[in-house]
Amino acid sequence: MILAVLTVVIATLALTYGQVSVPAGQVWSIIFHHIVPSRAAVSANDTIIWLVRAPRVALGFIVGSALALVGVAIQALVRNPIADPYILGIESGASAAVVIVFYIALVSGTSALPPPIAAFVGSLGTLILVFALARRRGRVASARLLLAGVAVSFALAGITEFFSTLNPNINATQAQQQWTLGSLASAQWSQIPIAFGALVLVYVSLRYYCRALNALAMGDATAAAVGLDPDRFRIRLLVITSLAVAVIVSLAGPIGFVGLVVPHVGRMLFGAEHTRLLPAVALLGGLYLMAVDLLGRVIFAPDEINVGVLTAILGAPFFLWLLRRQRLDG
Amino acid sequence: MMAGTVSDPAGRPAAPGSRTARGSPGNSADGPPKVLAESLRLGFGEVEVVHGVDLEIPPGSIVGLVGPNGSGKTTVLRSCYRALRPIGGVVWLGRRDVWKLTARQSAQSIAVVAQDALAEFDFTAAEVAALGRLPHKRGFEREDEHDRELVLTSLDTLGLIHLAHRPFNQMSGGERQRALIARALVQESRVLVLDEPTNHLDIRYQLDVLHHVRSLGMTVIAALHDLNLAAAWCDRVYVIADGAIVAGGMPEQALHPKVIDEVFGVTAHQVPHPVTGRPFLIFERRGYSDAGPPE
Repeated sequence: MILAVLTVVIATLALTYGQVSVPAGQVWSIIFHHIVPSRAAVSANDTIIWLVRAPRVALGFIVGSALALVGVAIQALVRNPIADPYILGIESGASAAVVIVFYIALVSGTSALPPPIAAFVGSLGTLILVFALARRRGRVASARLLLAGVAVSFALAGITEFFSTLNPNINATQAQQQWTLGSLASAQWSQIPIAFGALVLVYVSLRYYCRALNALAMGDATAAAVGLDPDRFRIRLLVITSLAVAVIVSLAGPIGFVGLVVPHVGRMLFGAEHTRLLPAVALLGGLYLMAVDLLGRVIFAPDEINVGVLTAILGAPFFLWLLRRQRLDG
Repeated sequence: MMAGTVSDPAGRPAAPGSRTARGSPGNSADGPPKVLAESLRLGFGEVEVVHGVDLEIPPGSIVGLVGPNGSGKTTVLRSCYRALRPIGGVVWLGRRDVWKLTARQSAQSIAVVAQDALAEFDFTAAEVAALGRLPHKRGFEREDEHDRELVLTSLDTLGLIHLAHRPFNQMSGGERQRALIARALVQESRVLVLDEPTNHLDIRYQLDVLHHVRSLGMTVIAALHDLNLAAAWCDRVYVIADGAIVAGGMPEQALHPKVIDEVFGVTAHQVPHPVTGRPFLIFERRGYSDAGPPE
């Protein structure tokens, strides 16, 4: 409840502030005007609010929410609260695949795969690779998982750079922004339906698998004991999370640490049980990314800081703090 | 080797007198089913580690599986709760083949307290126990009054009700073990598989856990490390060594000093427990006593 109110407040702030400040009342009348078309009163700020800021705020909420949910799923999957789609290289995998597809399209003149599908292949492939590297005798050791993730992530970032450089059509700075640092700056209404679709998919399927997530988080033997086939369930989770990450990355680029910070805060506030955790994390994630993007637009206004830069600055110390607390040999 | 002393193979699964009802196996009101393992062969990849094991666990009894480390106790148990598919042989639950049930069906009948339950996440005791509802619930189905009551009564039975909201990871070994048994009760199954339930527990909690298990009236198969606990609490004991059953039957037969000497390499004396009258073993290093077997 409090979270829902906070969401509205932050959304309003996010719509209000920017290069041109628009009063909150006017912001909502503009939004209202677009939702209920019969209203008159078109103001000069209409374009800024409705076409620039509103889709950006909406995309921020959706992306934050989906990333946080993916974080929860991956943490249950590898049974380790320190995992995150960015740290494990999954987002980099999606980025790299998209850039490679762009390059192939440039060279051959025909596009082999649409970017979101390429991103899906990239994220799923990376997730499976990192997981396989980290798993030994059926156990995933934290240290091995993190090292594998970071190493694969570096390699993929290199590949992304490489193909961006080769491709003269991708403007260097734009490529930098879009595919190595996540950004919400290019948000458009046309992107919202697919992003929202991905969010609904990941939320509904994880909500369906709540009890299974609880069981898997307790260990494979526990999962088997209560009638869950852990391997089969893991494969389903892999596909769901890769799909969501693929959509997010193809729209906003890789945005790190949201899937780490938000689920952790969610667990501190609401406990580890997934029935309660999931809705809370979905809202918190949206809130968090909206707020961080707002921060990025406000601190050095009129210059903007990419949301991916800020989440990394905020998330990395958090990650290190978690790392200090955990036994790595486990 | 004393193979062949395995007790009478009465009551094959197809026997008409089987008390297990059709439908949801083992969930019937007429008592716990019998569990039977027939010439089980188990292994990992190419390597066979259990070579043709037969076990009979009569309805409502506690059967202990003892043997040295690495003898195959855990492996045998894993095949009973569908965590390891046998290379050969059958595990019967009443008149059904466990490996022909779905994971979900089998979990409705067989509950397990395994060794690896340590979460990186802070689940409370009540949440751990509530996991037992998983095989009975569909995805979006909500917890109802029955589920909540079952969790509370099970925690109460195990004397944990005051710790319901304590994080599982902050509980003592004995409390955790009891929380896992509470989960098994919440599962409403009639068969309980216990893998070293008393491992790392103080003696008081060892006895406590076994007392609770005894009072449940379920069909229980337990791997036990401590031979005297097996002698004191089990209706029947199987001794396993190198993946084969060496002896089986009443504790006094199965834990005969000759068996102990052969399997564990120590000299044992079996005496009646001064209070319960059940067999009790006293050990000494082999060859130390005059009564010891010839080297």
